[in-house]
Amino acid sequence: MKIQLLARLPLLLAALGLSAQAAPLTFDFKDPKGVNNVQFSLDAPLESITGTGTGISGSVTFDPAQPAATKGKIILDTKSLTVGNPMMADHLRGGNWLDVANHPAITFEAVSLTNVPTQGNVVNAEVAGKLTVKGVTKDMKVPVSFTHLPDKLGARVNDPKVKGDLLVLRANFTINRADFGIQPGKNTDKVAETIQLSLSIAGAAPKA
Amino acid sequence: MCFRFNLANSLRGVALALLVGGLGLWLATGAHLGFTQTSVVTMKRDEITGIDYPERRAGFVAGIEFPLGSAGAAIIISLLSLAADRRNSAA
Repeated sequence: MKIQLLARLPLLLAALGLSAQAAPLTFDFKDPKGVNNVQFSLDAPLESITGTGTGISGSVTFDPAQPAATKGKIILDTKSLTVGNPMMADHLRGGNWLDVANHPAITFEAVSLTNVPTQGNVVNAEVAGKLTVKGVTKDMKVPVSFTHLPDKLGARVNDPKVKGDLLVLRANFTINRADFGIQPGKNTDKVAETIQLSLSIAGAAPKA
Repeated sequence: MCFRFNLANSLRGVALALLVGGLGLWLATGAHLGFTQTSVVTMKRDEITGIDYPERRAGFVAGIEFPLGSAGAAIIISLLSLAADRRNSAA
């Protein structure tokens, strides 16, 4: 009996190793390099506005073997949103528009993934989730690409001793400001109703 | 040599300088059709993740209000110069 167990030990260890490898990883999107960003653009008849936001945090649980089970929440600090014109930036953050004093975060919480084709380390999926802007939550479907970069954390932080994976998320989608109660139907000549959003963020899952 | 100050001509000179200055500044900083920007964005790429990210730095880009404002001011000053001409003729 003992001999049988000993003979099976390598198999057991291998199975344990495999299950550890296949376990879902939790990626933290607080980026110390300040690279994570969301870019927004609005094209109104009198003015095209482009801006950026960099205050991104949140976490995503991603299993490379089972990407459809991905869950997570991404948070954008509204104070980090800015445009090139300082007066416009003040208006953007002010009470009439994003009201960042009372609504400090824009969040997207992934609920489910559908249509999940995988090509190498890239997974493209339609992510259904809840987008909250200025206190208003809407159900949305967003096309997202997930790029899993195993063992790349050390290279990213310039320290080969640091072990871990990276997960890069990219998404381009459009929202309507009126859906979130942001000055619906007002100033449409200067501030477009539709806002194009482009999200490029990387999360890290360190290994012990 | 006697230099006689002519208000009408001086005003026309100021109007022309304003018009050329405003338009020149706007053209020199990229003829931006939006409002004036006091910071500019350069896109960079993170080598490991391949993420393109904006790097914002202080910079001045004259907006459309520069050529429009200088043109408006030039028109007003030109009208004043015409009024000064008429006053000179009447005197």
